[in-house]
Amino acid sequence: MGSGLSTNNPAVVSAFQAALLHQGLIVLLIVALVAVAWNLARSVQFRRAHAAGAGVAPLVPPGPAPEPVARRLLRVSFGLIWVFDGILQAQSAMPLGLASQVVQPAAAGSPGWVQQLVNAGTTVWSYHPVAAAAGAVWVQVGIGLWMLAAARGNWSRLGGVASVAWGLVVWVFGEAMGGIFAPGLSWLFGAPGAVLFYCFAGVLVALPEGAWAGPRLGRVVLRIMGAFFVGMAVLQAWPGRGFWQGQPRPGAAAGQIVGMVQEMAQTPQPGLLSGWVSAFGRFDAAHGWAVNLFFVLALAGIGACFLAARPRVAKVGVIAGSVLGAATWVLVQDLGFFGGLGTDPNSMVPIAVLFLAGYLALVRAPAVGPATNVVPITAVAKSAWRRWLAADDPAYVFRTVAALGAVGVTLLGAVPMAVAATVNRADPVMAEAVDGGPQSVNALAPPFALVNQDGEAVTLSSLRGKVIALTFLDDTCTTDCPVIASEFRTADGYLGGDARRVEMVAINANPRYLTPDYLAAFDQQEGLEHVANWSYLTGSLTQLRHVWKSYGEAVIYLPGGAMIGHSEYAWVIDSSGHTRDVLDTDPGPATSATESSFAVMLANTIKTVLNGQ
Amino acid sequence: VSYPVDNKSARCPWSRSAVVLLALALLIAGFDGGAGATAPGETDGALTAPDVPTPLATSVQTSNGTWATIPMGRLDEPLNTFWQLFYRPNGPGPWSNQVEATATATNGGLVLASAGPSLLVGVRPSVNLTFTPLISTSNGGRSWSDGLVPRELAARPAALATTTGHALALVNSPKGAQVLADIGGISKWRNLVTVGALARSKAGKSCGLGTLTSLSYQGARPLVGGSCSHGGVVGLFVEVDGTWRLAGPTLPSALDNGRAEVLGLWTGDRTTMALIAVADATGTNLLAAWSLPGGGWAASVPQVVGQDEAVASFGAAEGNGIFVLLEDPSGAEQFAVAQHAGTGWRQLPPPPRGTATVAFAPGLPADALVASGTSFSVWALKPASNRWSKAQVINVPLQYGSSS
Repeated sequence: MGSGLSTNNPAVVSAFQAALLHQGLIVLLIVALVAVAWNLARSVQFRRAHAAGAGVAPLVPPGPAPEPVARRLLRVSFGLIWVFDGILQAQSAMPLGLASQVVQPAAAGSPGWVQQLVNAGTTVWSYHPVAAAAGAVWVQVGIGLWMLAAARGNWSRLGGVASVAWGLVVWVFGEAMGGIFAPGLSWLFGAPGAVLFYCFAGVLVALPEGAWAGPRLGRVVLRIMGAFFVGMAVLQAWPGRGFWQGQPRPGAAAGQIVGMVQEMAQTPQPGLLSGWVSAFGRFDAAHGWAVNLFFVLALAGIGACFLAARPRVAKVGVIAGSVLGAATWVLVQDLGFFGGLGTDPNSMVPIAVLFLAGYLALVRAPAVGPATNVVPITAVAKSAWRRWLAADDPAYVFRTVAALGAVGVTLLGAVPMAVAATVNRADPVMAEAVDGGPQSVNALAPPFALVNQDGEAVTLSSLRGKVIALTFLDDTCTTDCPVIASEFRTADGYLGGDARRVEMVAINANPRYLTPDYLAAFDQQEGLEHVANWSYLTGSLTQLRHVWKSYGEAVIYLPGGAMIGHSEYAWVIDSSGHTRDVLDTDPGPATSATESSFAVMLANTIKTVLNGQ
Repeated sequence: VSYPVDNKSARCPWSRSAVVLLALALLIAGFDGGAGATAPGETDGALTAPDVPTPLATSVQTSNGTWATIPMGRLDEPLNTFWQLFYRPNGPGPWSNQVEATATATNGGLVLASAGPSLLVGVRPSVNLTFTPLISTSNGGRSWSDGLVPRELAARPAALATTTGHALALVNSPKGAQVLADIGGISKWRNLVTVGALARSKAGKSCGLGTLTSLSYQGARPLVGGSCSHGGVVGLFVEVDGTWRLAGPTLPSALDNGRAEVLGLWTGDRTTMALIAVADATGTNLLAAWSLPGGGWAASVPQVVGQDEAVASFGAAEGNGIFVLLEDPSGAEQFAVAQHAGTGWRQLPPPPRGTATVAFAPGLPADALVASGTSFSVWALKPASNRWSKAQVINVPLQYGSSS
């Protein structure tokens, strides 16, 4: 009874790939439009220059100061990271695997309110796995391209804002707030969530460019990072959290780091990497206390260097932080995306980029105030639009047009995702993944003459003129039948006003509990007692056996205290008494998403038959 | 473009930032620590009603034979635990499995009640089922009739009671425990009393009624057992002229301040039997009690339940007796029978390891019913040697995964 859905379910994977392909074609169209727009802009530039009498393209006058190196580092690095994350989102297992393999494990140790919040997100995802997964790909690729393309001005700052906004969505719903409210929080395992650093970087990119003048911003960034490192050192040192413990002997309880490393070593990855991770795991098992002491001291030391925010000391912190981060990224985090369903390269790379950017902002900040031959940085954004109109900077024109294209790619993912989030009916692809789609037939439906839950006689001919959705339900079933009944009730609701032209019919499939009392109890259990077009039918065992046989319904006693076994199908019969479609009704995993999905598929099938009459 | 080097860092109060972030880290660590305020089971030191498990594995006698229910399959997986219904007719015949008569999944457990030749079986609901199918036989399972209780039957071995033409059911309802009485047949029921109503009655107040636990009949009158928070009172209630009255036995003087809970009730030959757990400062004791023909009750000598022991099964024994199986953490079981008021519990040879319950039949020694996975074995107590010997094995085909 019931089969779970594999993350590589062919129906869902196929639908996901088709969605990516279709949206990819739209992206190509956007690229073409960008190329055309840029070409047009360049033509206008040339004509204006020609009209001015130069005959050649104008020399570019002294431009604004170059983008501060720290900002460029942040923008380009996080742009690339977003693009990389978007590519990871395109893994075929993402539609069905994200909730079960990424989000729910991340939220497992968190308090109830965090889990409820996360569940709200995973519910939306599980109702629309294809739209959500494809949308996530294009949102992340789009934001990445946006940050890469828009180097200066408001478009660039907006890219930072988009990064913050999407980052917060991912941090809350995808990373369960980085597990900050769960036990075992540690810098080594990615606390407080890699995407939170994307948000931090997005905030910095979104700052007015004037903020990058002088070393003040660099000091602030370094101090924030320093305080973070010191806080993480304290957490790492906190007794009773399992970090001081190795694994004294095989089979003994393993400390947190050993456990994490051993888990990482088991994931599929290149042999060389696996060897390193395993070797570190063995080392930590034998010297757990010393390894943790090293991490505590290293984190505290690096934090102190950043808190000092002096160039020479900070440089030491940058070097030490980079080395420690690289080692942790490889030996503990396993590069972040190996094994399971990786969605990002974890926290070490974003952290390193941030403190490096802080350091560069400190030591290579543009001067405050105007200088000879230097256009003030604060003036860049203000003059950008005028310069765009003057078309005196081909690179700027290209970047602006490309940024617009990237915004288009982002919207290509975000809009369908937002629309899906407002629809509380699941994508029917889930039902297709469980049971396949409806099978069209055209045969006269076998007649029946039974009684309903109120003891009233009901025959197939008495329902003539209505479309009938018919199934067989065991009235004392503990698993599937209540789910199927619930799906029928939901489908009836989805029909809206059309429900008046439809009769939802179930025929008893239990050979012992035959009286209408059971049907009434079942209806009450499933909230069907007030559904006007619901009929649950029963009869004598002889009558029921005749109907079971005529519909090919196999009903058997299963041994050993199991419930009655019976086949699970639904017949959609048109108003003239002909069966038009047969649907497999096995509820599979019977999640709220698959239940809603089946109800949508059933309602759609009924509507098709209604419309075909 | 110039890139001035910062030389002003020395004046910045980085230590203040560090302190603030340190405090933040400590706050997070506080979230992480998860130190509980109160350990599980910790109380304010006051005595409460005994917390004795009431396993559903048991046996009952009808005038035709003996019925037993035990769990089989993978007992650590609720959906792969299938409760079985076994029957042995009076006489030397073997046991047979009758569970297919339930025609529904038995993962929630079976509750048995008997009167004369009749057996009433409640199939406790599980997973998505919320009402309770009932089946009944009066001819040793050759034919069955059926009914239903529109709610979830309580998970207690004495949650059903039957007498000629009538039945009672103890159910879990939104208002708490509730006793239903049939109104002709076993498909239509009326509310007899709820735990709230009984607790508000004079009898309920004098007991400090906690919950309802067991049902039976005293003559034709419904008898309802419960747990009392007031010391020295046994929560046994009988309805007389629309008023609920305490009917229970008085506790022995050694236990007269103990908190009592009625674990089971049975209708015997011209008597009603009760198994009562009493908790006091020294631990938990079990008492068997019998109603007397002229009114009132008489109790056995207490049977002490060791601190590390658990009640594995209890039920009615031959000759108006009550049996109890106590299990220690190693799985070893102690088998005792109370037969007469005023006397102690008779200790019988420990049954084989894994015994789920024991069963009695007229003129025959006790059978120990042992389940292991899909194997059901019967061990008979040989009176001559006072030892258990294997008498029968049945392989029960279980449909693992059928309820998931």
